[in-house]
Amino acid sequence: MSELTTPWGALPYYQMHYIVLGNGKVFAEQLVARTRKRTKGFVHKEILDVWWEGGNIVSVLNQDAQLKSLLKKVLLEEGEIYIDPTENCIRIYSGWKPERKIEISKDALQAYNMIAGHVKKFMSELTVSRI
Amino acid sequence: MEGAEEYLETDVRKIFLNNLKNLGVDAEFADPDKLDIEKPPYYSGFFAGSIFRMVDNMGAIGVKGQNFDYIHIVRRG
Repeated sequence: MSELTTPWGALPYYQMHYIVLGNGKVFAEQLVARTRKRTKGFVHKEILDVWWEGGNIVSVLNQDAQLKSLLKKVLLEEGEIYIDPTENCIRIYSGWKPERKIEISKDALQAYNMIAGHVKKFMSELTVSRI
Repeated sequence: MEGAEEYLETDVRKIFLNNLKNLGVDAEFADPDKLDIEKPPYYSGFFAGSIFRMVDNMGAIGVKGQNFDYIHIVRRG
């Protein structure tokens, strides 16, 4: 029996991991990052500010004004976004979503694409500087 | 009922794939045998709560023309 099996079965909550291939463990501490946000309101929630916390990659992500303005809209539906380097890839994901909310918006897709672009560029720069 | 039968799509992978195609993304189901990304661990353990997180693999979608290569769908255990 798998150690991942639970007696109550799988729950109807899903997570989409946007995968950038590459060995994330080599530069794990530089690549790991997550969003933080300052919000206003409860029913009509509004995001006032978004910033990244984590390794060296956050300096690149925090400088991207276009990504920042996009995340102010996207994080209302996505919650938080994490960059998580694992052994064979770098995973970019948000919080758990219920079955009825798994569809992604165009803005969210663009945000994930931009983040993946920054991750790829950052990894290639690190590889070059290592050589 | 006459004509073509309509039914509610319940496969989340197909729902998500159709969603991507509607957004103009070139995507298709990836071959699970060729992928290492579908093998655990799915988390590095840097973030709180991710160490003992139980998840099920739901498969992956290959994507072309984007900065990310695959979308891996996992289900909470």
